[in-house]
Amino acid sequence: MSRISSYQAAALMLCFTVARLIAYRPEGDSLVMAAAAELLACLGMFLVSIPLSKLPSAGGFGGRVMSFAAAGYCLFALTLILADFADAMQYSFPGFYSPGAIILALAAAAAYSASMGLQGCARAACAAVILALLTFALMTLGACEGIDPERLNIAVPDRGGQLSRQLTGAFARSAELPMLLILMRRRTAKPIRAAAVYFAVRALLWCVTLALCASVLGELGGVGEPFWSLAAFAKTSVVERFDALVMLFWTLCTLLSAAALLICFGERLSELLPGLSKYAPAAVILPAVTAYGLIYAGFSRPAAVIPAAASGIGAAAASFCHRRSRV
Amino acid sequence: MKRIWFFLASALLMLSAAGSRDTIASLDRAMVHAVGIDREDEGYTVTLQVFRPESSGTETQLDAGKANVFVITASAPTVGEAMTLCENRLGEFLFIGHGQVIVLGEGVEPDDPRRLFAYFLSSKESYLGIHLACTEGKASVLLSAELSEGAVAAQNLVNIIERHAENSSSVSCTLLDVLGCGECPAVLPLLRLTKTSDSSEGQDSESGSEPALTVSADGAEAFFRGGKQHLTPEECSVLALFDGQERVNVLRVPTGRGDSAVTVRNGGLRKSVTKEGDRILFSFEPETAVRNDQSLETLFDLAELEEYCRRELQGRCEAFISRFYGDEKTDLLGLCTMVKSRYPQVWLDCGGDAERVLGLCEAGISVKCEIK
Repeated sequence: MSRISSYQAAALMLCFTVARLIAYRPEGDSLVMAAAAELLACLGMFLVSIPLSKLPSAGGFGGRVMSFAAAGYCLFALTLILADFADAMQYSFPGFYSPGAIILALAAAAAYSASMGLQGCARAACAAVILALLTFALMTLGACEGIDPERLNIAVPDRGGQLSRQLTGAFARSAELPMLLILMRRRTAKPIRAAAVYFAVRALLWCVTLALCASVLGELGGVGEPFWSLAAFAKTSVVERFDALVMLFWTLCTLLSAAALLICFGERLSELLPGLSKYAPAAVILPAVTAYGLIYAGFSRPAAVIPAAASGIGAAAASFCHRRSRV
Repeated sequence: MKRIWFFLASALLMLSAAGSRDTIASLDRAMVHAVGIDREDEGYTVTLQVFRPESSGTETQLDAGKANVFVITASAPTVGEAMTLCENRLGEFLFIGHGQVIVLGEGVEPDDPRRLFAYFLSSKESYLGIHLACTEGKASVLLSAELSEGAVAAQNLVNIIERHAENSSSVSCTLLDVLGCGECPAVLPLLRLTKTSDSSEGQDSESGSEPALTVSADGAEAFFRGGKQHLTPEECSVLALFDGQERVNVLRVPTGRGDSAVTVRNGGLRKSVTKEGDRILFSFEPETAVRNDQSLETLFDLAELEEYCRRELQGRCEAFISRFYGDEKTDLLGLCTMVKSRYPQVWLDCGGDAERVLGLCEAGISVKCEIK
């Protein structure tokens, strides 16, 4: 089975981070507290990832339980990614596009990308992340005129509550961590290095971006989507509006994240039902339909991250049911 | 399963989903360059200055005879409804992404900016760096005025504001400044429509034609909850010392034979904040410089000039502090923001009340000036 390098695995996981950062909504919380929570979450998850990455692969009945839970988790996370993307598009660009069309187009594109295999997606993720980071750097230059460090403050009445809320959200939103540790361990060279690179870049990206948003946007940073507000303000002589570029990388990173989850689902499917893994990309139909149903029924983002966190923890717990490895 | 089916499905969905109102090219929309908002009894009157690209290339950018800028007005209870009415009357979708300036008429106060500018916040096309200004009288009059030859459309209004701000006789304010200022007052440049004093004015009045008009940014208005205050150009020059931007002050300095203008450039700003008991002491040291040239050496004693400029700017700063932090308690220098940043517990203990926090603050400014 071919492997991807640790940097490629880190890039694939950073796609999740970039997509989440662009659509991030603080919902009234302080951006400084959110950055602090993200820093703590990255440190905590990295420390947890070290022992988890050393777990042997499971076989026998426990292995099947784990594969079943992991496959279910992948589909659930994929559903949330599709629904989240369509919901964020509806929030940011109301009336532009039909949510059903967004979900189905993204799902079909993710299936097409997944059919190229893990190595193809990982290489595409490297290019996408590097270009996204360059764009973010350019955006920082364009917004630097409006930076006022005095706007960074923690003068909020409920610091502990905001920190715990953001911390819970940071853990719940980390779908890529169980994906790496449990699902991609066998396909990633040096998973601990991949986790280290990923968490370091993620912490830096979140902290710098949220600090920039807070210092430029001031009170406006706590409402709506601060990243889009920053893109609407940043201006350079080369790029006058960053909205289109941000939309490009947001879509690309969401697409690659969905493709990675489909690939993981396909691999777990091959353990449960060998011979059916080639139909794995078609499994996008179920999460796409579910995602559309969630949107139609009035998808509530906070209510969905809790089950996502629970399923991630469940998949991690199932990995402890291990027998002697057959691989 | 053939991979091509997924590609086709995705491509067909994207093509079929296109066609909403916002896929219309921006050139096929009405390009709004300036927006004027006036207060009426029943709501707001919105005036839009719309650019017509098919008429570009004429000698003047605002020329009623050639109609390359079109002005339209509508009234409604809210700004958003008035904008929609303008769109209906134009018969075209509006494109506000290229907006240059929003002018607020007398009576319109941005004390609740998120409600006032909700239309601009809701649109993804809005540029948050769009300039904001206020005017005496009606904004519709300013945007509809037939200005003198070679003068302004919306872009030149922005140039006038920026030149005045660079020369410290007014300020520059954007939509983001107003939306993100929090407890601090919003300070907007004040635009005035004036008649030019022309030697041919007598001939114009004899022929019955209208006198020439021009626009100037004369001082500023500070809006806060409960009212507004006017800032003179000298008070704006004090704000410029705290701007952190490249600004200049032109001072009138007496010589033996009359007065002469000296340009003083703003440099850095040193600030220190200390807490002594319950009091929070702010100390600001703006640094300014006068660039030495032949005219200075021939007209002035350089040491005396340096001291004169320093005293002049120091006097302005002291008058500023006395007015806005002594009598009127208007936080134009952002002291509350600094307290929130450096002493968050003090801010929380005061319950986020800016007036209570200002009561604990003492500010002192000491200007430095040197000739380089």
